[in-house]
Order: sequence, then structure tokens, then C-alpha cells
Amino acid sequence: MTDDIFYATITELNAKLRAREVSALELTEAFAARLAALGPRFNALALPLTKEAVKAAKVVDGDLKRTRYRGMLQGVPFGAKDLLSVAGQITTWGAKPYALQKFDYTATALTKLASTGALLIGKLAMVELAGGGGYRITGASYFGPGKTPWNTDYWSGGSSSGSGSAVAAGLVPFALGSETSGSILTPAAFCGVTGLRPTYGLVSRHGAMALSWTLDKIGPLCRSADDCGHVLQAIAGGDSKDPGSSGKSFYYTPEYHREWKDIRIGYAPIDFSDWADERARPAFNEALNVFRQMGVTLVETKLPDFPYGAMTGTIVAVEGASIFEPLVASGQVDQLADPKQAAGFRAGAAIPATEYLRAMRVRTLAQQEFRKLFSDIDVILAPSRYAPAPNISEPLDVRGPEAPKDRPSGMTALIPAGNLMGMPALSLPCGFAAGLPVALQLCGMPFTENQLLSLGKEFQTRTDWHRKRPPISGSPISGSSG
Amino acid sequence: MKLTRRTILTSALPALAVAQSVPAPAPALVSSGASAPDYIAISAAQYKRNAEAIAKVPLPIETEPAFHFKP
Repeated sequence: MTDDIFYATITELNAKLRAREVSALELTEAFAARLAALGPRFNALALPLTKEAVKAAKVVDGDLKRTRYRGMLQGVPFGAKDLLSVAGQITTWGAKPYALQKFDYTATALTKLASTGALLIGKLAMVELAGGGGYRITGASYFGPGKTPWNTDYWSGGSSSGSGSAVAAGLVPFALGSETSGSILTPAAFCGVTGLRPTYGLVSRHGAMALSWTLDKIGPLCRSADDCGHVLQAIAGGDSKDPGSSGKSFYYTPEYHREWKDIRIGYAPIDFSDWADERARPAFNEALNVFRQMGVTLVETKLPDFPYGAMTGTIVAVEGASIFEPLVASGQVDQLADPKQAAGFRAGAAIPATEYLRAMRVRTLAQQEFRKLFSDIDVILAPSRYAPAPNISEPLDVRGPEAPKDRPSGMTALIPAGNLMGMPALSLPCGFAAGLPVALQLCGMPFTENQLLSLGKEFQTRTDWHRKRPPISGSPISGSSG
Repeated sequence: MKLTRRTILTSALPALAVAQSVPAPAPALVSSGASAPDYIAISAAQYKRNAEAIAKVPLPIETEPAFHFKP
């Protein structure tokens, strides 16, 4: 017996289910057991939902027996960030003040997955309130600091911390996370899994905790770019319950990509020579070479000059302060694990409306400049994070040494910039630094997910970083790792 | 990839017993009480720096805010 099944892709699991080599019930019970046994080791588990999943799995097995196929996700277990509501179940948003919170409706993304026969086996831990108040410690969560399965002394990243570590450790085949500014790409990078931040408005936010109405997105963390495509197809689509919904659907068609030589990828060489952590540079440069070998056209480029971090900070601070005004007024905000978060919400409420509106108006200007930038390139390539995960004991608000003022900033602001523009991004594991995973991101214009996914899929046919497994001892099903 | 139903089920059963219980929350951080940093002031100072950085961007009077935000 090996752990192979826990590291199988969605496509591989689907083949086994259709061939009746394994049933949905068997898969559900095996993954649920592993999630319950190992999830707490990484502070990844918020709420097991085994009983409900087992019941649904029996229905799926009945459908499979009658050859009623509903797609690639039928019978595949998964987990969801505890920011998504499940009717009648506790939804904590990772925060003590909401430890007993229940909703009487289920998030649209989860309803859509259920309709395909995917099986929700548990809710996954997260940074409290998705870190909206500005957190300074990795322990800013009701469930404790998220730990990367590659080394539990190191952070899993946030705010979709449990989603990243659960996929990496083979506790779920895939998971849903959310991103306001970096909350999918960061845990995907620090945990060595593939993460997709969809275009703003492509996936309904109904039933998800709001932190910033104009920035929040729901997306998958998976074993491969291909898996991300299958999950996105299932969860995307218009929703009248989400005022930000684009009304667009998504059909995963990676086979219909343009010729690689016709794709122009913008990048900043300084990212790879100066900005990246020295330990990570060999991995990043090797990955860059893989793209070169694919035959794409690499073009030196730079981001339009805007204060992206400051804009994101202002918008999240004000929208978050408005959303959590009742929490602050009740005083319960002081129950948050990180006092900096409570302070951030209080201070955010004092930001003048004119400052918020100025940030939103500058956002319009930046959008116009991005359209010009993308008339010359198709995709931007950059490190997802420029260094591997920090130690869980390190404060997150410590500033590194000041960079020389005349040094070009490269793509270091791509995470806030991409989120402000509503652009999709795909994080691909590309190697290791100091024993921890590092990753590159591909970022494209809105609604170009198929282009990113086809590039990511090709990258992953030429590399095997996404197939690496963390060393996990004491697994309920022990065996080899590869 | 070798897998049998029996091996999956056998190895899964022991842990299923605990799978329906909610894990205990992490212990709350205990404040030392002595000279805690003034986080509100720290946050407010950061927001002020943000506003100053944004204010440096020339803004044509006809520019409308990007809400309802559409990419």
C-alpha cells in the first residue's frame, strides 16, 4: 500500500473512479481519515464534514454504477477555506469572535461543486478575517499558525493557509481558497502546490466572507495547472447573488492554445538577478529557461509606475473597516489573536472618504496603463514570492534592508497590481530553496485563464516540481514518497 | 499505482472515529501587559504613508473611481 492515491491528480482519480478501481465512498473515507489525522499537525483543519461527505459519496457511487457521469470532479473529495459558508455548519472565518457562527445557506462555489459530484470533506483553516486588519504574526488565526508540510517550523502562507497545506500534504486532492491580495498565490508558493487566482467576478463570492468588495476572488489550489482548469470550470459562472459577478462562464480548453512562439511573455530580469532571495535564484532561473525552451517569446518589460501596495492597503483598510464595523463596535474585535488586526480595523475607519476615492480613481488610471502594457505582451512572468516561507516565529512586519533607491522595482508589486486590475494569476511550483518550495506566477489580462493554464500545463509536462511530496511521517497510510 | 478497496478502507477506519469532532482551537496569545505597542498608531501611520504615496499620482479631474469594479 502506498500514499500514491493521496497525491493523485483529479484526472487520475476520475479514471480510477470510472474504472471502478475505487469507489467515491472509499476515497472519501480514506481522505477524511487522513485529513482528521494529519490536518491538526499543520493547523490546517477547521471543521471535518465526514458524515455529510460519506452520505453524498453513496449517491455518487449510485450514479457511477448507472454510468451517470457528471464530469471530472464526480466522486473527488475536496476541502474549502473556512471563509465559505455551508448551511447549518460552523463557519468561523478563522476568527474567535465567529467561533459559533452559522449560516442557513451554502456558498455558490460549493453548491456548484456539489452539483458536479465533488465531495466536501472538511473546512480548512485560514488567517483570521483573511488578515484584513493587517496581521503581523503567523499565529493570527483561531487555529494557530499554518505550517507548511515541507517543514512545520515554517509558515504555510496566508490567508488560505489550510487550503495550501492540506493539498500539499495529500489531505485533499484540491481545495478552494480566496484572494484579496496574495492569499492564494502565497500559500500555493509556500506549500509547493498549484494555485489559480481567477479574474475578479468570474467566480461567485456569494456565501464567502467579504473583506473587500472590489478585490475578493475565490479560486482553487490543486496538484497541477490541469486540475485548476477542471475546478475553475466547475465553480465559474454568473450569479445574481453576487453584485460583482461578471456573468461569464469558463470552459477549460487547454488544447486550443496559440503556438508558443506567438505568445509574448513579459518579465523583468532584475527579479531573477537582484530581487529574488539568493537561495531561490537558481530555481527561478532554471524555470525561466524552461519557458525559453518552450519557444515562447520572452520580452523585458516593467509595470506601469503606480503605488500599488499603498492603493491596495487603502482600499482593503476602508472596505474592511466598513464590513467589520459591527465587530469593532461590539468590542469583540479584541478577541482576535493578533492585536494588530483590531488596530487596523479601528484605524481604517478613520481614513477619510476622499483618500479612499483617490485610491479608486488612481486605480482607474492604472487600469488604462495596463491595457496599454498588454497590447505588447500576453502574460507577465515573475516569482510568486521572492523568498521561501518565513519561520513561523518570525514577525511578518519586519522590513528587510532598504533597497537602493535607483534600483528598478521589477515585478515586485505584481501581487497587489494584479489584484487591483482584477487579473488572473497562476502559481506554479518551480523548485526549492533551503528545503522549502518556491514558485513562479503567470499573470494575464482578465478572462485569459485558458492561456495561463495551457502555459502552466506545458511547464508541468516539462518539470516535475508539482509532483514532489513533502516528508510526512505517521501517515494513517504510510508508504513511499516521491 | 497499486490500490485495493480493502487496504484503503482498513487504513481509513481508525481515524474516522475522530473525524467528526471539531479540533480544539489554538491557545490565545497572551499579552505581556507591559508596554504593548500602540498598534492603532502604527496602523494609522501606515495608512498615512499610503495616502501620501497615492497623492503623488497626478489625477485628471475627469477620472472616475473604479467602482463598481469591472476588470
